[in-house]
Amino acid sequence: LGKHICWVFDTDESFRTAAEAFLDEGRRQNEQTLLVDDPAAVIQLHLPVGTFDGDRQRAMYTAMAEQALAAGYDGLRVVVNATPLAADPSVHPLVMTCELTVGEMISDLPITAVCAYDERVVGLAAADMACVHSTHLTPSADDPGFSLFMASGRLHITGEIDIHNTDRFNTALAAAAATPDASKDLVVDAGELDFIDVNGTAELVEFSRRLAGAGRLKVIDAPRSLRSVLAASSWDSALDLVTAGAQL
Amino acid sequence: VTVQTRTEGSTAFRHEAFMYAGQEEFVEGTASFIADGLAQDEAVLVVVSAAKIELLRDALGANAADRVAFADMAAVGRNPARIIPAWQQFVAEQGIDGRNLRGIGEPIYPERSAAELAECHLHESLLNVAFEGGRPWWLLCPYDVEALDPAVVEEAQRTHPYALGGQSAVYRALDVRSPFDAPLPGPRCEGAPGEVVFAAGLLRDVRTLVVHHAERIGLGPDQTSDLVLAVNEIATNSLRHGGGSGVLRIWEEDGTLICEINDGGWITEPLIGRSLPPVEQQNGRGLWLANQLCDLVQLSSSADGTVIRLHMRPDS
Repeated sequence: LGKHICWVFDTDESFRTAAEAFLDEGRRQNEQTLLVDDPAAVIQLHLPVGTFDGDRQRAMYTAMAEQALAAGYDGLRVVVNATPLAADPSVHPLVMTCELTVGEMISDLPITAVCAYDERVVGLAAADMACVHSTHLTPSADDPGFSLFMASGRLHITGEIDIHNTDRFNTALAAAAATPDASKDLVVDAGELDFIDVNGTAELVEFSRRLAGAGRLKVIDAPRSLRSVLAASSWDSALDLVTAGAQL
Repeated sequence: VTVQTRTEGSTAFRHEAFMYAGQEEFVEGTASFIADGLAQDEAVLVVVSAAKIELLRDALGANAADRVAFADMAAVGRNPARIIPAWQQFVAEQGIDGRNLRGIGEPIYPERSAAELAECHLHESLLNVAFEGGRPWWLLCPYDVEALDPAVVEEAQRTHPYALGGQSAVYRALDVRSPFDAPLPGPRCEGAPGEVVFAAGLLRDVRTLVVHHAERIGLGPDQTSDLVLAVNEIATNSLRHGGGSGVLRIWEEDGTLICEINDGGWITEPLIGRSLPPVEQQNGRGLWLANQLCDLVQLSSSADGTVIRLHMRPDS
């Protein structure tokens, strides 16, 4: 399923039911569980928007994971109703960047986290939040069709990118470019990217230019569609395509 | 057979059909054309079959042949829409410092299918549009009157301003206001086995349908992926410029998979898909990409709408 999961829900009942089932499953697997539904606690635990402090955040997650292990659990499973973070549309880009950063932070910790967003409050932007998690469970109308998330120092892009979601893909790339890990050394893992069209590829090339300047973004296991677009558009030199087995 | 080979007062693009009967006349005419170019220190590019490249290398001798660039028409012109970009690259790269240029291109050979032939004739007409008014250079297009249908040779005299050593009396310039108004040749497939109406948000279904038919006909994963990409881009154009929706039909013809996209758009740019749009330009990449990826692309467009057929046949 992945470790940094997004749910988009539209009734309080559906959120509670799903949260209980998910946490029950964690208990059966000897994981410590935590449900955070109180707005003040959400902001404390997850993403203090505007005052996001990466080091403090990382230290907190590390401490929480260590405490769970010290208490005899095999890991920590958290469900956060993150709706209050995204209630104000003006902070959506920042929330997306924070989500990407949190995903990277917990990727190497024994933590599984669900960020749930209430569609009635967040609206269409719920799909913006969903697409920056490794897995998302959304009503089909809100399905972004792809995921873009960070884990273990890599930017993963999965799913399919076409005219339907190019704008959202661009928004997600902009959020990734604003993370502390964004640099010319960032590696893109496209091994689970099933399809990308010309305009999506153009966005990726632009992202590479923004990040790497004169250098080139490394892309691991690019799908045939990406390689064909690059070759046919004379953009071969825009990205550094490598295979998973190759030395990075 | 006589080919006028001197570049006398060449101030314009000279696009000339060279009619020959059999291999011997081919070698005689083209080798002297090349030798004259080399004698005047011109850059020469020859795009013909691999077998004819060997014949010409022998006829010219190693020293002369090494000063000529050769390219295999079967590779460059498998899809005839890729030939003009190759000539454009030649003119741009070799025409520096005012160096004179000449080329030989034989896009039409007996193995061409009817659909390919129609696209080759269009290609010959579009060469005039692409190069007239630009740098002067001389392009000689050999036609084998022994092997080709006489109708094909007649058509060549209409698509070339020069033929048989002088101006063609029957040359007919392409109407650049409506370059694609001719209906597509060949059988039109009614009730195709694969047919889907698509609109915004439904391109995933379009891609799934193409994969299904591509696998059935035996296209490998790379060809399937390339055809899916080409169809996706043409269908994306339908959503953007073709009225917001379209119809995709898929059928098989003589072992080739054909994907036809029909929409309400009207394309009038004669060289569309034959030049790579600049990096910052988002539009115009669809047909360019389709031409790079597919074996053949047919286009018919008028006030009534646009039909584009993408052909892919399994690599042997």
